[in-house]
Amino acid sequence: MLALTQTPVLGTPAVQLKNITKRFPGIVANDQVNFEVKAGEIHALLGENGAGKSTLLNILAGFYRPDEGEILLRDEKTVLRGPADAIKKGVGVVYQHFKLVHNQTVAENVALAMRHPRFFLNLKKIEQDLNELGERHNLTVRAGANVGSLSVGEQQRAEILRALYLGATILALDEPTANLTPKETEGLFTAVRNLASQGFAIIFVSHKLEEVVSLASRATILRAGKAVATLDLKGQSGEKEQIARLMIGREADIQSGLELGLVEPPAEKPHPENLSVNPHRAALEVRDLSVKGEVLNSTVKSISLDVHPGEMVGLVGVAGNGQRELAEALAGLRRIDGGTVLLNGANLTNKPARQIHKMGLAFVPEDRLGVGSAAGLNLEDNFLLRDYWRPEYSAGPFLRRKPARQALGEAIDQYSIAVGDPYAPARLLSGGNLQKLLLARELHNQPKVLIVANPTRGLDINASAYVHNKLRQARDQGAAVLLILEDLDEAFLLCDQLLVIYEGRLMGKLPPTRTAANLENIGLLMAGSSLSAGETH
Amino acid sequence: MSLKQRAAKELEIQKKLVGLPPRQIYPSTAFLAIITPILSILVALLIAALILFVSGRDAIFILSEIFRTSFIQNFAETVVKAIPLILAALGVALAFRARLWNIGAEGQFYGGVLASTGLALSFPNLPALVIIPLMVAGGLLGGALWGLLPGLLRAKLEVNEIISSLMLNYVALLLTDYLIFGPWKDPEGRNFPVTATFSDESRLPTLVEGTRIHFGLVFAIVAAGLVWLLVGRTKWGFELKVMGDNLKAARYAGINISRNIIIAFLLSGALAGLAGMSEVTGVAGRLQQNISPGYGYTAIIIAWLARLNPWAIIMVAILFGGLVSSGFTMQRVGVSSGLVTLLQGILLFCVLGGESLYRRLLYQAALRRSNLTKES
Amino acid sequence: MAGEIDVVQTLATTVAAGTPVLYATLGEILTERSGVLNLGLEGMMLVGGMAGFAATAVTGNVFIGVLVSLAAGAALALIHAFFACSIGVNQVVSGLSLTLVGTGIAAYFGRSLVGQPAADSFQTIKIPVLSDLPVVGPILFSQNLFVYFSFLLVPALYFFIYRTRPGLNLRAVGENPATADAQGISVVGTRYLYTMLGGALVGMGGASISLGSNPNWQENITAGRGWIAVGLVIFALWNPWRALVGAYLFGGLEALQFSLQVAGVPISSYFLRMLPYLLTIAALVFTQWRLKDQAGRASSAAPSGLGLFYLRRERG
Repeated sequence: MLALTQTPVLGTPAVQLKNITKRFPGIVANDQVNFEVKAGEIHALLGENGAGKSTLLNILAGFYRPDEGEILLRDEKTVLRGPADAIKKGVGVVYQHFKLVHNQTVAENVALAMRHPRFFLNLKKIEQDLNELGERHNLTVRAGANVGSLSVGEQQRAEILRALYLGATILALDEPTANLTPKETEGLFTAVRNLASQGFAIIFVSHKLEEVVSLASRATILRAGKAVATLDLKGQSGEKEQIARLMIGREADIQSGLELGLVEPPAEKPHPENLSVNPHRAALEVRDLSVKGEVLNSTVKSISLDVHPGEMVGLVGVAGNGQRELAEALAGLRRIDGGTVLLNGANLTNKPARQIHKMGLAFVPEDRLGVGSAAGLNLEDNFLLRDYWRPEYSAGPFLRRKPARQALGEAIDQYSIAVGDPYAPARLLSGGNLQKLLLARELHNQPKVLIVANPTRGLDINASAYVHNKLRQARDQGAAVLLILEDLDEAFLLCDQLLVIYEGRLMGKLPPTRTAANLENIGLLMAGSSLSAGETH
Repeated sequence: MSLKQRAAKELEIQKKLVGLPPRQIYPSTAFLAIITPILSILVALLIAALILFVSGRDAIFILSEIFRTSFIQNFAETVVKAIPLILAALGVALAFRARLWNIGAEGQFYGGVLASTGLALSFPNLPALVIIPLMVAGGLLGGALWGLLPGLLRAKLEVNEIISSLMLNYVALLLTDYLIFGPWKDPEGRNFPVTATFSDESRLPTLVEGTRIHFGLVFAIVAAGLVWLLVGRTKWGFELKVMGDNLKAARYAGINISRNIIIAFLLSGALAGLAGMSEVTGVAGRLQQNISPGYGYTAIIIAWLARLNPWAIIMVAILFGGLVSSGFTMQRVGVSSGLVTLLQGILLFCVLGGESLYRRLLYQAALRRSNLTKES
Repeated sequence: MAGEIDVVQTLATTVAAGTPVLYATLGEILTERSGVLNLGLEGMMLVGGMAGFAATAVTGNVFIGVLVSLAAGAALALIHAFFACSIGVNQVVSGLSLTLVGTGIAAYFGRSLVGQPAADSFQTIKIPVLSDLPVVGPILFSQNLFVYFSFLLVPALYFFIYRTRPGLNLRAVGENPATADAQGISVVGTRYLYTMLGGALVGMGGASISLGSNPNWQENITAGRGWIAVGLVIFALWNPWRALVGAYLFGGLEALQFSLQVAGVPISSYFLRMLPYLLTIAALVFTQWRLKDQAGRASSAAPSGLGLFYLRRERG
């Protein structure tokens, strides 16, 4: 199983999807999609969130059966009867959210998909093979370690190694750079190029144009379920603009250009005008904050930071370095073990969440369905979730539904939230609409401090632009905004200042400029190296 | 569009206040909502008939006999059985709303029974106007006390409340046995394990002349109204609902989860305790062995089948009251009363299955609607 | 003062009394490891005990009785598997229904058996040489076949769960069904299999009462042991060895209660009989308290997918 049976001839078609159609209730996720990848090629699959990339990937992985169309693997017509069948036929998919069992070792995770031997396990052998394979492909990973103790980068390498070990010749990577430091991204790209040159067919799913044009030789663009074009990428100028146009179906205006990273954000951010509060006193002051972490390396260690009114600060870093713990501690959802938090001078350290909210700190968590909303309840209940106790919605022990309904109606209108049925469970909302609802709720009472974690994860360009504008608006109205971000592009686009977090420590403070030197510095800090004193600001 | 223009436009929108559209009722789903429970019950009856048939009984005769006696001939007796079922089911439903699995209604029922029996035996000479309110309070407290431990352990230590509340059922039963075989045994009872008969003053008055329907029915209906108000109209009810859907979101909403868990268990237990109190003072008039034919367990089914709705609980409880009171009929036609338990289980399974099918159809319909209106 | 307590006899009774609970706990560990929460143990034990007893009465062969109890437990578990894994109803409620159905079946079909002694049962077999050892001999090696089989089953299950491929797959399905699915393991199939295997063991646990430790039939012969087993699974942190400890702890209390009564200790038997139930609560409190530094406490040791319906998400 270890050795590739035969290296496919470069340039022969490895995967051909012909006229693939997949329907879900009320929606056509893939509409007559044609997609082809050759052996030895890195083929980018591009599209906005919701364009149908994941569905296509899931069809390739054997998860979904297409309603129409056919799949050809190495020129042979096949039906993928399920994930096991797809693995057997040499398809390996690495999802953005890794499919790894955390309390098992890498070797055990690899053994999961193996069909031989049937009963007894020889984990030592698998570990050995994995280490060998990893060295050969520049994808080293500690095969005997528990997955839960690995960094995100290592987990990804484990996923890729697993696919290779199981004999994949077609490798699909779903947003592989979303959680990597710039340096890890480099390493991944080198390994991927290497694999391609050996005859592997690589499918690179992304929405980051910069990466696509630097890595892929061809790109297929999906829009609203249809494959609108396949382009040869030759590294000419104007390619990104062309792709962007195809992705959003119109000429990219400044707004979407900004979102797609086509246009540089203005270096001088518009300065907040006529603030009612003193901008020199920070609205949020955090001093020596320590919070116990939930996973490896996520313990927050003595962090201090200030956010001023009218300022948008971005806390960037790879997921799992303490950002979530920090944000939740500030919002009163996690115990603070040491240090203080002040909001306009008032102490909120370890105060109950309700009181912190009441004092003017709003928080939109990253996990919108799991934490930010009670997804089984309807929109009205979710709109009330954090504010039902306020006098405007209650009379004694009773809840007043009428003003709530009124306020929700206004919010739906004001934030143009597209709802089929406001009394249907919130989980039926699209990601963008749910995020709008949460923002509407959190901004309803003009917070003094706003903390938002990964505000546009999973959102399409229109919704992202909308959310970004709302955040800017809140800042311009005098809120102190702290964003937890993993996407550097988003950080450059929005923030007035960047803070880099690594293993629960603040590594440095940097300006949000996209100069090569600055990017390099941020990359270093995100990976845990420190800069010499002169370089920090 | 610049930010300023955008802000101006939004201000404009903000000015025209728009409310929500009224809740839409879709005819297809309304039809489903009615037809599924009916079909489920029919399927359950069919399975029960099959079991009877297989074990060589005249299924049609037995089932129709049960129906005739419980719902036509002795309907009053069915209502009598429904009273404790309603009260206990209301309590269970209250806890279930917050996804707190209080399986201990049986023990809490006995908590109420023991407290009110203790009062009745200690103060045989008090007038009704004093002793009855005292016993009501005692029943509520006794049940609440029995619900306190699982609630406390769940709230403070996250101890699985299913197990802890259930274990206490056995403890309550053994305590009852101890008392009626020991200290509370009627000295004039010829060594039967029963307490002395309560004084007339400490009996709940009969409500309908010529039947055993007692004042507990009023308790049950008032309790249903109160639970409805509490759950559906108050902030606390809202908190329970959020906790039931997503505990993390409840924490995020600033809800005091531990406190609510304890209160929910106390209230839940209190209602079951009231059920016990009304049963022992309204029907038996003394404490005897097996005063509950599993009311606490049947209450769980009722609460679930009624989808935790207080008014629906009354209806479903009457249905199950008929089933419980049919135990006598079954003995008469020579069938083990185990059939009652079996029938309850089958009924629950069938309704669960129907429910799940119904939800899935509903979800698909809602998904279809929402996907059609999503922004592209 | 009353007589002495015979320690060796008490410990031997401990092992015998703990065995039915041990089987039920092991069965539920298998089931829960696959991510299915089956609360119907009490019902499955009763039906297993009743069916095994009835089959033995009809055939006169206790081995056939045991086989029938295994089949009966598995058949009942199949109902739960269907409701929990195929149509995704709430597993707590489905388990409760199963308890009712099981209790009802055992009462309805077992009515004519009540009070009968078993036609055949597993007798105490003294293992040569070993049973002559002092102390250990009478405690461990003068027992019936149910007990001896459980001695083999505990290490076998431990080895199976942690050291074999099917065990690895089983853990993966319970821990992270989406991952298992993506690796081509049938989540629903695995869950059906282990729900039924677990149910079979639980059924045999019932038979180990009616054909072993207490060879006759009464209604509710299990007296809550099924529920105690559900609690012991948590106490055992889903580990067969710890299940052994928990089950013998329970058996110890039963034995002690018996010995105390024989010795004439003046505590009401009703209070002594409460002890196993209170012990179960105490065991859970202990488990939670010991893990108090871990977020989520015992649930951090529970299979992450426990009690959750897995459906390959089809959405738009």
